[in-house]
Amino acid sequence: MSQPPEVHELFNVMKERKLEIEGDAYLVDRQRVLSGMAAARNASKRRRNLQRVLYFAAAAAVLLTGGFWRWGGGTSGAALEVEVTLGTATQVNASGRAALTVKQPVHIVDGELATARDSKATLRAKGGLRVELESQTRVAVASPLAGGQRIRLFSGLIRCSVPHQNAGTAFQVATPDATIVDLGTVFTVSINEANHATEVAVEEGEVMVRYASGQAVVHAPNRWTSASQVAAVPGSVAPPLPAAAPSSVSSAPKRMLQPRPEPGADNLDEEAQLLRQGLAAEHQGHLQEAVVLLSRLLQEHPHSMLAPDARAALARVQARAQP
Amino acid sequence: MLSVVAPEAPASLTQTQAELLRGVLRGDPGADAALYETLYPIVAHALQKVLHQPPDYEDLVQAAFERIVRSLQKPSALEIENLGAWASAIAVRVALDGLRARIRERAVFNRDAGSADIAQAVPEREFEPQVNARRELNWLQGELAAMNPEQAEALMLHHVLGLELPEIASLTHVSESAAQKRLSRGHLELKRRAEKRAKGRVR
Repeated sequence: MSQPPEVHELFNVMKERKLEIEGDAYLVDRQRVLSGMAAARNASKRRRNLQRVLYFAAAAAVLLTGGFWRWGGGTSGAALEVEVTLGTATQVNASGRAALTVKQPVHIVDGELATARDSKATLRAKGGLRVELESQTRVAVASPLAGGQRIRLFSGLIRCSVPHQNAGTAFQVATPDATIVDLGTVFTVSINEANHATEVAVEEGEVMVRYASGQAVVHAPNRWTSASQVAAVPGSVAPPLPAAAPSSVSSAPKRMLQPRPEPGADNLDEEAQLLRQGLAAEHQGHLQEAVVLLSRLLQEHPHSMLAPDARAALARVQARAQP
Repeated sequence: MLSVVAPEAPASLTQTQAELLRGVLRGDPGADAALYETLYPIVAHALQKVLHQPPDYEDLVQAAFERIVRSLQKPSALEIENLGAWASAIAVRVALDGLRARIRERAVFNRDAGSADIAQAVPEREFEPQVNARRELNWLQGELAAMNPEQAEALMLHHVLGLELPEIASLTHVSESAAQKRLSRGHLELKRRAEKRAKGRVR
């Protein structure tokens, strides 16, 4: 019988991790973090003030809080109204899972929401933000960061109508490989089912898209897809990437709550081979070849267990390839 | 009721650190940026050790710094003795929350996979070292997320950050004996899970 390792040995995989700060995969928007820190401090102060009020006037404060909550304007400003406009949807949060049906608006603060086949739902926030979920779409709503609202899109398609806001309260949509920052416009974000790429279509105004190796401003009526950003080294000989499905932003995905492909043994062989070849090419100084191999791994197996390693290696290679 | 923390930094902090924290508490312009520059490598290292390369890395960094600011406003901030260890502990808590959210998401939305250990679904073969490391990491992350949070936190503070009992007790605001209890129970629990996994592999 194989012996389990000692407990301290189990942590070697974490202990031996070296810090990476420079890589593209570890880009952090410093200004956003600083805004979040200021917002957190102010929120704490407001919370303390509110607690004092509660202490001296509990009954009145409870009524006041209830009133704010009902109208989605509590101190956090986080409550979103969810309305299923067609079919059904499922809401999941820390307290469990609930089915939502047509014309039964509910308020959520955070958690996840998924629409069923042939179903649609609308999220509305204080201030005029409106997000329409198409059929078979799954999103997560996070507590507001830096005073803004943030939605994570896992699959499907959402259409966002955002009133004009300042930079400190920008609305953001995060996908597995990009973050779309909006300051007041109408745009659509979808996950391409075939290649898992993020696709953005701007109908009005402009958005900023941040991705692993940079950022881009997309003006109406243009589109952007992450599929064309993976092998972004100048002079790269990367193979043609799968094109984003034309007009896919207006077509609904085919399956609901589809589990991510598990890294099966067959794939893992191929994935490991691609990673090994990519790292060998990097080691030998063949950076363009390394980009091609690592990009291929990420394109063909975006949910591979090796994808994080490939992304880190790709970012490293791209940094080395910069003139 | 919470009281406003007097901006008095403990003597064990350096003068510069104490000034910095006072500035952050007052909301001085530039203090947040200086604190970020000071603590980012520490926070990043703790997050990367536990999560390696999470897709929501930027969100986690932001969450860690927001929690740092909120924690500074609590009375317990007066007990900070080692700014780096304190920030690391907060980052580890954020990482642990991130792990639990990831596991919860997988359990709810991926019923086919359920709580199945991805690592065990892959047959033993001669794979790249990265594959094995990733498999070990996935298993450990899953088990830590499923364990009692206080025990998991104690284990990570000890084994990942290398902190000893007095520091763990101070950072988690419990007595040394309570910290010792959490750590030893966490050890036993993780060992039990590792043994269960080893038996499963033999079958």
